[in-house]
Amino acid sequence: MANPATNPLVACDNVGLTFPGPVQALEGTTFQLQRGELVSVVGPSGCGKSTLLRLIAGLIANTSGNLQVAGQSAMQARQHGLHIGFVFQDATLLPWRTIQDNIRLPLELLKIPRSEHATRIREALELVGLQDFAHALPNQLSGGMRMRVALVRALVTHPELLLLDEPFGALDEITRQRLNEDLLALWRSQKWSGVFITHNVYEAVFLSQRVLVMSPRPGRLIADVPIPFEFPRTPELRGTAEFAKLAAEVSSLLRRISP
Amino acid sequence: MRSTLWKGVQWLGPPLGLFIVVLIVWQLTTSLFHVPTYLFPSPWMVFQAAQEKRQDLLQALWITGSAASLGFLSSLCAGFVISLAFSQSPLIRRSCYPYAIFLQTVPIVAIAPLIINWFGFGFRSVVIVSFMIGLFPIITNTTTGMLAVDRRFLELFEIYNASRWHLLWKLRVPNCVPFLVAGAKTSSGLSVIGAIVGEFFVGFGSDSHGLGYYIMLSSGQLKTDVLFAAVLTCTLLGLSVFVLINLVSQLVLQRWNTQ
Repeated sequence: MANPATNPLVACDNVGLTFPGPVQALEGTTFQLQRGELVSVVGPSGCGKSTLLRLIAGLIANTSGNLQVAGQSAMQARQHGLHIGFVFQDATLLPWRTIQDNIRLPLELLKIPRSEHATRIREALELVGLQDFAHALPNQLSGGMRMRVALVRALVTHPELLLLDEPFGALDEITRQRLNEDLLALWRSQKWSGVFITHNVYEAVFLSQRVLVMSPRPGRLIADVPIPFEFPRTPELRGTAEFAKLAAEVSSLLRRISP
Repeated sequence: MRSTLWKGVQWLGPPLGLFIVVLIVWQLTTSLFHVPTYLFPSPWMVFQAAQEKRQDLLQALWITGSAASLGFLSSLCAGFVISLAFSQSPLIRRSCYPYAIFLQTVPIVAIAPLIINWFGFGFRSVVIVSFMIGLFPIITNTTTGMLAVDRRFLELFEIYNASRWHLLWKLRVPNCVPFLVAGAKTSSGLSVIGAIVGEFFVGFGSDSHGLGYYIMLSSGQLKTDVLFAAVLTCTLLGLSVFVLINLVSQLVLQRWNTQ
């Protein structure tokens, strides 16, 4: 029997999803996410990137193919104690809860002992430098700060798998770059596995070890581009010729498939 | 400090000015044309009647005010509990909603004999009428609020395997608070009307009378000046309820302020 630690964390084998209608959202998607890997998925709007992420999270079920997370179905994995973090397109903070109570929510829902809450929340806030805002309400924070809170809320349960659904799409360029760097630092120190959905090619190349390119609807993976840059990656990487070359390669792949 | 005062003057000045002008015109026309008191009393006569009957009016105000408050509070509690049930299953909603609409559409006059039959004349029946009239807005608003939960919040809770109980108390109930407050605003006004109308039909026969009964009484005796004084007292009651509920709503909604 194979050692589970060497098995891929996520294994998609010819996974497809057809909504009643019928609308084919995703067809024949095959890829694997190894433990500790950080992979980006790029593709045009509406190609089913978010659908793929929701399948992995076990929020919806695939209609064809085989999808396994930690060796079981996605929903089972989640219900059997695999901790997943999910970061949405916008921060999705409960407006009536303070920042610290928003971060506390996953701990409450997963019934993590109360005695641990304070430490975990403090650590989470320190990760993104928002200690002074523990008692603020979400609407008192800027968009970038809210996104940081959403990020550490997803990390507060110490997840093995972090799923990010175009989390920085609504932010300005500088804030986005900063958050990319924050995210990479968190990944390096905490060693979770991540799937990062984006339509921004530069973000994908900067963040990930591999970039998966998806076709327009029905979504299908058409390329798997390895990104060989060493870690830690610094902001200067964005200015190098190799970076530009890889970004151009992914862009041209996208352009070729766009109608 | 001066500017707040000035703002207050700007805000209160125009309606107050109009009020004084109307009073003067009213007083002048009734005196100049010798309009009989039973048809249209002058403001001065209304004031005198109010002075003379102050004791009676205050007691009636107290009785109507308590009936309206009890009716309102019970419709708030009952409406909330009914909405909790409605939020739990579409079957419950579909089965019970028509009967909730019945509450809204049935004319109180038509079921007054029934209420008298069951609960007798007097205070208790008045509270029941006030309760029935105030209930519907609470049910519709609160149910809407419990169901109008952002899909991403539902997904967030599902990621952490939230139970039905968690979904209800940590998401649906807090989410419905602004809706509940909006419903309470409508319902509080209706409860006052319900109490007064209730006193018209089911409020007599008891040893102490509310404002509705007082209006009927003075109208029957052609004491139009007393009737005017009673109507003004009703307005005063409605106005104070309006101010009170708006203050409470502002206090509660600080936290729910839209982003």
